[in-house]
Amino acid sequence: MKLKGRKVNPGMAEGEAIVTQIPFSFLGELDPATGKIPSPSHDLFNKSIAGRIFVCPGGKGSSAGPGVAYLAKQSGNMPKAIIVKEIEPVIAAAIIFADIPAVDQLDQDPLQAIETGDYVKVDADRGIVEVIKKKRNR
Amino acid sequence: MILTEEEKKMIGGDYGPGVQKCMKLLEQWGELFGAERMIRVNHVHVSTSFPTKAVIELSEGTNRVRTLSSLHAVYDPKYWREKFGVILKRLGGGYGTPDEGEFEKRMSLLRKLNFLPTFTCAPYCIGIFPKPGDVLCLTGSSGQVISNSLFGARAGRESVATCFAAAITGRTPLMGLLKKENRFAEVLVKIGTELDPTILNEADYGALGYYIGEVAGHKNVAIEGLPEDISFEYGRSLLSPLPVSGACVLCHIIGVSPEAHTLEEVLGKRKPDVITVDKKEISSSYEKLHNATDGREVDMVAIGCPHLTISEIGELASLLHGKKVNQNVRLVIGISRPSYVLAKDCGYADIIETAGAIVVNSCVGPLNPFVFLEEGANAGAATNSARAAHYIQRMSAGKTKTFYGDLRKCIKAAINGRWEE
Repeated sequence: MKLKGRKVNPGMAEGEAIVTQIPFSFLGELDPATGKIPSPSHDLFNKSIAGRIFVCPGGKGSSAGPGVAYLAKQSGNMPKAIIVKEIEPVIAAAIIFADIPAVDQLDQDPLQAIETGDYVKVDADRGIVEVIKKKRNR
Repeated sequence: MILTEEEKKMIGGDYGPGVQKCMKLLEQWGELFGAERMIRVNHVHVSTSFPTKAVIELSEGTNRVRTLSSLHAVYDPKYWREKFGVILKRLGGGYGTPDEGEFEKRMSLLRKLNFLPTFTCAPYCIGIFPKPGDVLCLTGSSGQVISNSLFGARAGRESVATCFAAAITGRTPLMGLLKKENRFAEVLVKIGTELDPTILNEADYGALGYYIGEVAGHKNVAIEGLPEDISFEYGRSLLSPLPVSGACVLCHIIGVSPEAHTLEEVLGKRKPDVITVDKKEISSSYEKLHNATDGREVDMVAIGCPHLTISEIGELASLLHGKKVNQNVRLVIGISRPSYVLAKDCGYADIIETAGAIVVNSCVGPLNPFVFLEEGANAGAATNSARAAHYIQRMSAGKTKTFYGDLRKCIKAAINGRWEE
């Protein structure tokens, strides 16, 4: 399956998807030293987004976000790429500042098209996301 | 994006690699949101936790900021060690630095660039006062929502990186809430029949704002039916959780906000989503903000998120007059240094400190150093700030449970060491 969208920040990456249905705040929802999500009420609590293709609906919360993203990048704990349904200014600044390949405004809702565990290839320059569905367990 | 000659020089590298990087960041960011040009910035406010390496990278080759630039609330690791014996391994999920040397270096870099050492999340309390229409780039979403909604200034949904870039260039992309056409309300909040807003306290207002933020998401809000003589402080309590539970930084309070004389003025012929908030919605926020179980001990009481106004400091002093904070409780109060000087002259500061409270110009909410103490894990923290309750739960990874209620209840808890409803 191929999805077409808009480049937020250039670059290419591929890997295993990890999907949250909750708008994301880097401050409080990403521990830059581990890449894990420390917030107990989060649907990805205690899971790591480091080195994965992170899929989220948008951004929210603290303006400190890009500083956290920058530190996570320095310690190798940022996702390889980020797919956002629709960016807002803080998550966009975090993505640009940490320089992570990212796309948004896809022609299909990425939160439905992509599930955690799917293998995803992101070509942000061309705004293309390729999704290889994981094998389902019966 | 159309750039002026000066801005072209900036992006072309004429003013060094720092200015160039900042301008490139702002251009890419602006283009994503349809900005057609840059606009000059009246005031920038930046977090002191912005990584030192990032400060160096974005200021390389420049020696001064290009607009009035102030600094956010601070965690000074040396001060905290000497004054409170607090040594942290990590702060803010690793965001603030516990390294004294690095902190000194960062502050010295920022001071050299002419960032003012204001160290507060509430610069409007200490004479950096926006007028309607001013363009502000503010770190700290409480400052954004308050500047937009109570001052009628124009503050976008900024971030620490774009704010820093705005300080270095004196510019920001003209987009989002900086444009009049984007300042209309999209969600209209009406007050339900069971709710009497004249009897709400600051914690009730915070709970109300917390609920509205969740529903509004990133949309602009208008609230109809609040008292036109609502205090600045209650307005702040209502507004400051909006960008925490959601991403809303503009909330017109009809009859109060400078741009909101009437409902028609803020709707501009648009049809908003209408929601009604009543007692039940406030209760639902209380359930989230107060997650400590009954009978649990209170270890910390956090007051001053955002940093207190002088009226709030006066109220606090009257509640603490002649009282002693329980020996098992840390009562930590967030006040900017200039406000502290005034509080000292008023006699408030002595009353507060004699009672045993700890006054700091640090953050007492999201980056409250006590939350990051190893032995602070599994603690109980009381607060009258919805913002603080939300972040203390999350920054402690759920280990710190929160008690939520008005200042009177919080101070009672600080004195008794127990929470009473």
